[in-house]
Amino acid sequence: MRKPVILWLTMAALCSGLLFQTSQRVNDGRAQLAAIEADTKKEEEHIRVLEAEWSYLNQPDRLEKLSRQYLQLAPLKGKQFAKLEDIPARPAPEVPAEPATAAPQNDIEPAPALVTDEVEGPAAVVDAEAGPALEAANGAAQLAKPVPTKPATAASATAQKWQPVVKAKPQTGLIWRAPPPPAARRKDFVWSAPPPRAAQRMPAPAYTPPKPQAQPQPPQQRRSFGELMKSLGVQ
Amino acid sequence: MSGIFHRDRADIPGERSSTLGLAKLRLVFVACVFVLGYLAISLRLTDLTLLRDKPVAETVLNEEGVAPLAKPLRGTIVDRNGELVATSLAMPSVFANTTLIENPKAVARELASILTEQREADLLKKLSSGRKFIWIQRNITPRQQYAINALGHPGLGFQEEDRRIYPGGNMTAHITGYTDVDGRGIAGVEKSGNQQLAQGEKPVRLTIDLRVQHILHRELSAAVEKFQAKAGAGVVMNVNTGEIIAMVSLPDFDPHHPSGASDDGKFNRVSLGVFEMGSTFKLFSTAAALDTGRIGFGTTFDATNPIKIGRFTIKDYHALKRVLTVPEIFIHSSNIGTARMAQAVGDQGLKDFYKRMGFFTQVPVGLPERGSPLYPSPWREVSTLTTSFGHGIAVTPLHLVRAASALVNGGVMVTPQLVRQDDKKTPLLPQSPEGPRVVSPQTSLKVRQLMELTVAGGTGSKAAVEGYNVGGKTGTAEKNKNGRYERNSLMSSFIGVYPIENPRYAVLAMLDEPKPAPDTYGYATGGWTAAPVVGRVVEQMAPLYQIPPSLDTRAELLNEMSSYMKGSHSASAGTDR
Repeated sequence: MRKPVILWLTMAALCSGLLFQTSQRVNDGRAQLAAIEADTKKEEEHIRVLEAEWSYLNQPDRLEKLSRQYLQLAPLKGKQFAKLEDIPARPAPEVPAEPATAAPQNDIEPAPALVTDEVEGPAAVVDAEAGPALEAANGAAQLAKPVPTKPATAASATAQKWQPVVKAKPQTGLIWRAPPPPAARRKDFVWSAPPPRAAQRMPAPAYTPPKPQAQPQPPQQRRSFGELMKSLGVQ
Repeated sequence: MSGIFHRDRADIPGERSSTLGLAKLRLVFVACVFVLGYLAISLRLTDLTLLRDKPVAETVLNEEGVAPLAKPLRGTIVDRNGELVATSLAMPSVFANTTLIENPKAVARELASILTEQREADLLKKLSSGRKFIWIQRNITPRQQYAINALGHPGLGFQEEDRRIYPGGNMTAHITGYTDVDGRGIAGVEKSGNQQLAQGEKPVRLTIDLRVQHILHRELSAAVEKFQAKAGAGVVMNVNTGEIIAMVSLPDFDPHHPSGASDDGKFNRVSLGVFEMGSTFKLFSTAAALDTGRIGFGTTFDATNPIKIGRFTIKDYHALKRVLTVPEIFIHSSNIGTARMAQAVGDQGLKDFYKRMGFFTQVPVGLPERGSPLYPSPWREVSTLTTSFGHGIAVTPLHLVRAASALVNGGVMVTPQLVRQDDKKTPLLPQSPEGPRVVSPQTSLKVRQLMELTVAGGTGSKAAVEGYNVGGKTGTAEKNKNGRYERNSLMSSFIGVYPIENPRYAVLAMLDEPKPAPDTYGYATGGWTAAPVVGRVVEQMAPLYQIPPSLDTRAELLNEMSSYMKGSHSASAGTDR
């Protein structure tokens, strides 16, 4: 054989070898890609299922039932707001130091989803008529033995029945009702000493259809998501 | 072939040499072409294999495209906070090739333990049918699929099918609408947003807030049940933007099984049903009068005697039988007084005003279900009188809420929104409305004062909420049955607005043929049935939207208004018609 022939044949062999190898890699890559894409699709479908289930479990009426059963929270009402200037000054520092729990301001605020009917029965939140401000001030006055001037004036100021002062104040003056100082709170606040669990704390709906619920029902489970699925299948 | 490369042999003189030379030239030329070709291929190969190692997959993807995936799942519908309202799931259906099943009895027993809703005997019948393809069950759950797969029977297979899921069920049925078996939207937002949903990429975002929707649905359902009403409708609208926050029409239906629902259930009363609204229309005739500038709170109208015109007699149900001022007419809901006011506005004036209020055209809302109003044509003198208190003109509840929103938001007409176009989170603070002006800001203020008065000491007192100042207007229309107005078939409604000093939301509740309940003293009017619904919705919705309560009692306003009112300040809710 002559040299050029060998040269060309070698080149052809080399090329075909490379070509074969490349095509193999492309095939592998393609299979990998398809597998990943299938996995992604599967995962996306799973996510969709979970999202649907999550949303199903978080339907307001279900949450409402659960909250009525297990929580002692009621929807916030307009009369539970107070103005900043109606809150008495913080009691003097002589008050025996409780472990400062730094009462978070928002602990009255119910989760937005916990919307239910108006409170008619035992209110989970202290009624505004009595006013925590008054209670807080009283509690503080009792506790603080060497009566300092500050709480005394506060108590006298709120001794009149608590009333919203009709004053054209900018609405920025409104705050979430701040809880009373820890000392007073432990004593007076309904939160710390809840009645037995069995009592149904959440109010019944505005109008209950004529089947009286005499006793606390066992946890009423909404039909499961799976059952919904099943019900969809049967057509 | 090999001769090409040996020039010495081709070296022959003469003619033949020139012929051979030509042939040689051709051969060289062809050879060059081949060499260049191979060179190009080798270069490309080197490039692909050695230089561009990684992006091979991408190149394949981009240049050739991957085998097209199955049709994307239909897009989701979410509420204004991103909560799921409708979604599509790929749900497996299980089928059998019975020729591959050797022991149908054993398989049937195993399947029956997984597919609990089917009886073993039925399964056995299917499995021993001898067919090559038979559905065992459509739309099984992932757990069931896993269990069946684990059985490992070669004769059982799965096929995925799209299934539309509405987690809210009936609560949002009239908003979402539903799809047909092929997944095309044929009602509600499923239809109006079909194009975007079919692409499946971006979710359709509603203006609805599921929390408020739930509140409205619950309260309205309770009222329908309590008063044994035939139907109910309710809307919550942002008066400044026209966004519909909640929309309920009762009775409703299960969007998962639209074929099983009654036509009555599928009828959207809010956007498709047209009704004679009754006294709530006095909002508009009064506004038309005030907007003329000729009529103020002190202007009086004689409501002593009923008005007789043609075969109609316009009378008051609990007539005061005296001369009334505008606020008196409004809070006592006097038909005679309102008709007199409308007369003062004039036929053309009132007609034009109603036209501006959008009562003669469909409401532009993103739903296929839109009702066309019914109004007198030609417009006669009697039309002016009767339409002033909401008879002889029928509009959808959505018309009413939209027009009321325009009246109280400063006088600018809004476009009802059901689908949000942008992804921005709307600020919770009031936005200034945009749109054509329909009444002056002064008129808007006066209407708000009248509405506040109605709740503070008039027919709408049951809508009052502690902490929030609600304004509103009751309405009680007798339903027209076979050309006669029936005294005992009422359409009771209440349109409320809050906070009335700076309105943000309008709430409408409507009940179709409510019956008196034990605690309503024989009344089934708007003030007794619908107003409490609005009050409760406001009470629960306001804290969600962080609307600060109004702690002032608005005593000044009431004092100011009482100067326009002579006698009784104590119209009970029941006297309203």
